[in-house]
Amino acid sequence: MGPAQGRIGEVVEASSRRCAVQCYRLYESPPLGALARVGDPPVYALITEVSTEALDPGRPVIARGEDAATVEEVYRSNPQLDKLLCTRLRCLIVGHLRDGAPVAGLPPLPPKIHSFAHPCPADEAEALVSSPDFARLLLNSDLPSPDEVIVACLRLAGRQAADGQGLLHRAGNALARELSDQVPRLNAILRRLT
Amino acid sequence: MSVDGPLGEPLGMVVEGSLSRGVEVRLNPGVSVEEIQEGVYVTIKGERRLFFGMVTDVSLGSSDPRLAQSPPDVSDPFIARIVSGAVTYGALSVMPMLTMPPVLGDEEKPQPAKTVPAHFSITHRASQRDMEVVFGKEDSSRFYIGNPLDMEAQVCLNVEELVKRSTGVFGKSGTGKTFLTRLLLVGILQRDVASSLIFDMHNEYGWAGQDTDRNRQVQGLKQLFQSKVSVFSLDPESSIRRGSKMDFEVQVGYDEVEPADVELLRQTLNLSEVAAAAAYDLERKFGRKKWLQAFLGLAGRQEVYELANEIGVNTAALATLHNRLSQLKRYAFMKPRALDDSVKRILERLDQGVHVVLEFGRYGSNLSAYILVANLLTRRIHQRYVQRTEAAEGGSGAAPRPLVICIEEAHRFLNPNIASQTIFGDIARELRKYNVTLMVIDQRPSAIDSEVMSQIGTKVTCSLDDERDVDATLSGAQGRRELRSVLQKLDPKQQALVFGHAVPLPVVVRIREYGAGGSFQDLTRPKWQEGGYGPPTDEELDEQLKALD
Repeated sequence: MGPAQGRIGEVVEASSRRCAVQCYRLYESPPLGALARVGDPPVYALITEVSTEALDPGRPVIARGEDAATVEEVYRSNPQLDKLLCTRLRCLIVGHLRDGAPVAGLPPLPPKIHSFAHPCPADEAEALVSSPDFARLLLNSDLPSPDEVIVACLRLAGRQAADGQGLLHRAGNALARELSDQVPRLNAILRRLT
Repeated sequence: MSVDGPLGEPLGMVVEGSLSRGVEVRLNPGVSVEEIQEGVYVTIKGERRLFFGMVTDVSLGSSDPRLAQSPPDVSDPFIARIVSGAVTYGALSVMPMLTMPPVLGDEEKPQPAKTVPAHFSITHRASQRDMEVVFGKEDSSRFYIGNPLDMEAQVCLNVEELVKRSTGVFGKSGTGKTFLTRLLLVGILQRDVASSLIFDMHNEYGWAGQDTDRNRQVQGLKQLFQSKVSVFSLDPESSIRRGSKMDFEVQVGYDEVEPADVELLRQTLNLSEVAAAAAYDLERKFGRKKWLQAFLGLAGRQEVYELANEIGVNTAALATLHNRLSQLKRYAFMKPRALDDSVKRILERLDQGVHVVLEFGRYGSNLSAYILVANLLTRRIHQRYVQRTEAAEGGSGAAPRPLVICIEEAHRFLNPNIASQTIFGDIARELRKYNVTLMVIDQRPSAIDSEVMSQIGTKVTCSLDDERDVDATLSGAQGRRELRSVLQKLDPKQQALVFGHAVPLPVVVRIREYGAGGSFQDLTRPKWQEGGYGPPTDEELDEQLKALD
């Protein structure tokens, strides 16, 4: 039996600022920059890294496809790989639900381990992404390349929103206020949004 | 009347500033700097009061000092829209000038601003109503002089305040000083708060004047206000040729000229100090009222030399004086003895509330004639005013009616070398002590004595190029650094900066029309006044005829 409708995976590591989600199916993850709604009460997690690795760190992955013609053939020939590998999402916690509305910022408590992760509904994603606090949180995070994540997130949210241009404009303004003294950086981000 | 009316378009918010420098207003992202001109009025809603101020500078700013080195990609409209407003912004320098009371009543009027609005106070473009609250509506004491640069509201001068002190009309040649002066005189005439005596150098005020830009004739004060204006002339032939309805021919007797008049003519007659001072020796020798006729009656150079030796004056200086003063004999209005007393006639008119225009005819181009006559008549009129004012103070007789004396080329009478000696300098310094003030018209205000300039109550200034003229005009004005910038950017035509006693704050105006469309009717039959002056209009005649039928 497959995972419940639309569920991505479960929280396997959690803190106030970050969480890791293990996907139920290998390679079936949302893209970089997508938002997930995690746990109950829900918190919003921005996917900042997608990785696939060995489930058991003591059993490193070895090469198996020397004689295979395609990658698919490797997996067909080694059906145990689905059980030995897993796809993980590293997430930055960017918001939570307050008085029934999504707000950007850290939640009072992190999600529980094994909390379920769902794709974030488009309207909630839109509310978060266009908030000035969202841009500030991302820019001030210790992500190795926050600009890449921001671009990915905004492009995705822009595609999913009913008024994508309006969303990008509001989010762009919020970024501009934060990066008003770093015009080249702002310029580089905005150029990739159009 | 409450001032809590609808505010004008919001422009931005106060971000910093001081009372001496004015406040900086950061424009809202949607407001383009190009929509706002220097000199525009704004209101700032502070925490406790509403401020009224003027935009004194418009600037561009950015939050990143490296913007000029690495500008954003504004060819992309999305980027351009986001960057402008957040990274780049427009800013205004605003000089808060007045604070508005919460409720306007008889005692509640806008007051000079003595503080600044708090941080983040919202700034709005001044509405028509704000302008009315500040500058008033045209009525029995206020005269509509023009409109602010970007709106149709009226800017009105308080005419009673205007005539209390001297007025200066400045501007380089061709900027409309004459039109402006005509308007100011109309304002005084309409309100009947003073009489005026206009030394009309170029025959532009009494009868028709020329609008050289539009190549047409415009009506003078006599045409517009008929019996309220009397035209005197030094040159009847010229008046007749121009179709001017002259009321009196002015003659000046040699006996009326005093040595002080010669002192004033030093520059135009190119006389040395010694030569000019010799007039006093001549007066001592021949007697008061007789010296000039006797001196000009000397037959030849030999007689002049003999006289010089007799009275102990340098012969060359006296010969020069004789030679130069002999020019006076060529003026047809100069007579050994005048047939009538011009000063008496002028005073009669002034007492009746009639405004007197003295046309110079062909002598307008002769600066010596202008200076001589203006000084001579003014001195005698002023003497009478002093006597009558003092008598009134002593309880005998009424004080004379306030008088405004209007002179062109004012620096010739009021330059630092002679201002202390001329009657015009005295009048400017006396303020309204004797009910006489000046309206000085000049294109070189820097050549006027600074002490005189400091006594001018209201200045109406058209475009000026010369730095010294700008400095002289703004000397003593509050916020002159900011006003300087406003003044230097005035259009060369039909714009003026007005500041001083007759207006609550400095204002740049588009001067109202004089001579186009129904402008004359607006002047002779202002809406606030029943009846009006001058001949009835065609429409009024039609109505009268219909009534007779």
